[in-house]
Amino acid sequence: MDQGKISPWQLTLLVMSFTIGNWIVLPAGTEAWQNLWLIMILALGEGLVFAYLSLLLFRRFPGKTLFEIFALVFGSVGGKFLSLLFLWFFLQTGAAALMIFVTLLKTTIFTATPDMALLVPWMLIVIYGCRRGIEVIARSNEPLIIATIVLLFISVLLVLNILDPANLLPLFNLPLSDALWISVGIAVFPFGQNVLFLMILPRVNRRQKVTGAVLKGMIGAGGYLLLIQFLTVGVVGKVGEIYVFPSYEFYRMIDIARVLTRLELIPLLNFMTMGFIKIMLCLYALAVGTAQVFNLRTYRPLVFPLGALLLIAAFRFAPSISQHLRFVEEVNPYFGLFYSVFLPLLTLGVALVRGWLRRRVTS
Amino acid sequence: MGRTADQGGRNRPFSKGGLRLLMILLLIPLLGGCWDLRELDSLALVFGMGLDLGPQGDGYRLTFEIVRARQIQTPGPDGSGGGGGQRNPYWLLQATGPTVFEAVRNATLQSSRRLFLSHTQVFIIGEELAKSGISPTIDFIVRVNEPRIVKWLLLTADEPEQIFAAEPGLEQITALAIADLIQNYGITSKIKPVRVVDYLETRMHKTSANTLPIIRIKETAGKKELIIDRTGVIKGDKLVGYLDPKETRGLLWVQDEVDGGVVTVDAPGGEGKATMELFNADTKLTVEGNEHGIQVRIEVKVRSGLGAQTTSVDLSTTNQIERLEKRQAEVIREEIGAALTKARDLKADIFGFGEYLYRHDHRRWKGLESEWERYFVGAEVDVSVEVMVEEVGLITKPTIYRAPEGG
Repeated sequence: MDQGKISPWQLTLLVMSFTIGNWIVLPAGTEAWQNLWLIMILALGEGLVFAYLSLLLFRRFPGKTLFEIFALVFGSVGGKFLSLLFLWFFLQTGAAALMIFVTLLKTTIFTATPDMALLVPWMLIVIYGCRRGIEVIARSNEPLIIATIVLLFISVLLVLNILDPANLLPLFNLPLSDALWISVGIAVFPFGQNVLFLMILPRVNRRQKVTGAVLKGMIGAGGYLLLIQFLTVGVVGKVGEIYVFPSYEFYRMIDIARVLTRLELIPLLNFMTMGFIKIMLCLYALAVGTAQVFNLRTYRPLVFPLGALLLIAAFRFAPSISQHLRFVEEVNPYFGLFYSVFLPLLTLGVALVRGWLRRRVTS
Repeated sequence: MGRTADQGGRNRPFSKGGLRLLMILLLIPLLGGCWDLRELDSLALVFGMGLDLGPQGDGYRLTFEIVRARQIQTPGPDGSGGGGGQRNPYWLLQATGPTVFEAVRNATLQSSRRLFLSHTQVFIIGEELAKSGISPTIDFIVRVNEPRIVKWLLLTADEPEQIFAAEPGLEQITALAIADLIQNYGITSKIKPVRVVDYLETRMHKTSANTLPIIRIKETAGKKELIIDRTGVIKGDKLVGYLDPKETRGLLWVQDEVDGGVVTVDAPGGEGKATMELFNADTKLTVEGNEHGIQVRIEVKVRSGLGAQTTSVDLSTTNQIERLEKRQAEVIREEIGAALTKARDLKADIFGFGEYLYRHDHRRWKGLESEWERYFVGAEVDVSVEVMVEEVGLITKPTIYRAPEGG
């Protein structure tokens, strides 16, 4: 198994990149549009609570991955069953990111390039990074996330002249129940997907700092996404609602004195870097998890075949962007709640009850 | 590879060198760039696009103004220009099709190069098409990645191809000349520039009406020149009426989009006129309402200066300036009034009063939305204009100054 170690700070940055991931170009809950950034504040709060609860699991079983915890709590068979369920989650998350990656490029700049010509080299790099282990993933993430943040601050300066605050009105024009439901959807995607890090936390060198590091990363990513959404609504206005990739359109509208225009490469770059880290982490969790389920000594031989599987899954799960959008809107809230809230809480509950029973028996 | 790599004790299916070689080989095809790679010499750069109804009233007839890049040259040192005896710097191409997209593709049947729409500066829509609905044509512009939604949208009563064939004035390409005409709107504030995205934005607010500038051909000394001097009102999605320059200015006042321009008033205390230049204009709009009707308050604040006068009366005294301010406010109020009257006649909410109400009081708006036309026509509008004349130019006395008698 991977013996690499990462620092809590690297973990924070990884959580940020993973959360920003594909949301940066394809937000969910766009039916709330000009209220979306407000709902995101609420969703971040919910997401932090969910994440804190999941992290309690790691506190109770320090140094264990999620799958090892499952085995300890539910026994060998039950643990394996839950682990397999979770493998599906990693596969689904990675495949969705991969699918959005190829759709974005296909509809914007590489309109005639075959999918495989984009995906195969991309996956090769992902596989290469994955085989190198978590240390390499974390190190390569550092410059990428810093570049992404710097580009955001530059964009803020670039859009000051076209930002129209009136576009942000009216606030709170949708029923509270709708707002709450949308916020749950966002709390599980993208924030809830961080449950994947339960596979990676044992690789952090200072365990007592893990909880803070994950929550800090989520807050950072939440702030980042909120700012992007705020700018998109302020610049593109109500029209942004009809776009598949609103932030892409927002960069297309930048116009500084008719000289600095056509900056749509910025969101593509942001997504390609953040999506790269996200897909790599998904594949890593998938490979490490599979190795643990089958009690393998190392995960490395699995990376290549699982990468190929991810590639196929990207086309199988959502052959078109419309199907993906429908999944995000109709299924994902339940899907996400099941994986990032229900299963960790169930495990934690069972672990607590069993511990309590054991203490009663021994005393 | 000629290099034996350190295995690092890791379990690998390939040797390090072999893996590297494989990756390099796989990356080679990508070095060519994207599949639909197109270099400048294989592109037909479209700068202007005209859209009109097809010959039998079905489908669309598109006109493209394509640049002949080689014909665009800067004048030589002898001032002879690069184009002497050469071909036009642009080529007009027409194509028809049942949808805009198909018409764009059909154009390639006549063009040796594939049309490239990313540089399109203006989209000119024929009035026939505007009367039957604009959105179906815009869909293509917004959906496809090449055209840009921040480019200008115009109407014309003439054929779009005639507009593109007109004299481009100081420019070489008509489309660029038109784009510059629109961008200079602030010098007069008698045109309301509209981008594709602005049109969409207004269209999305169901009760608001759009306006589009209208370009037409004006014959000057036998040459066909271009002029933008009217504004079309698009209600729903269809052209229903026109605003003259005065009404257009009124619209701009309400929307706080007056950027400059001049206002001419009757000079106080004498024959003749005085023209004031606008330095700064600021409008505050408030809309309030309930089921019994809506109240609109328009507060305009203007800073201006005296730019020209045709009387011999000294207008630069404090007394006279006060009267100039009053008269100017009167003219501005008239302009706003004219726009309001026209909008009420057409029952078209070109000012976006409904949009304002929706943004600031969406609960109340829900009750009014369905009958907004009635509320809009019956709206009580209160216009207040405050003018400050701050400058009189370089001279204090009129050039045709006559010293007061006995002075």
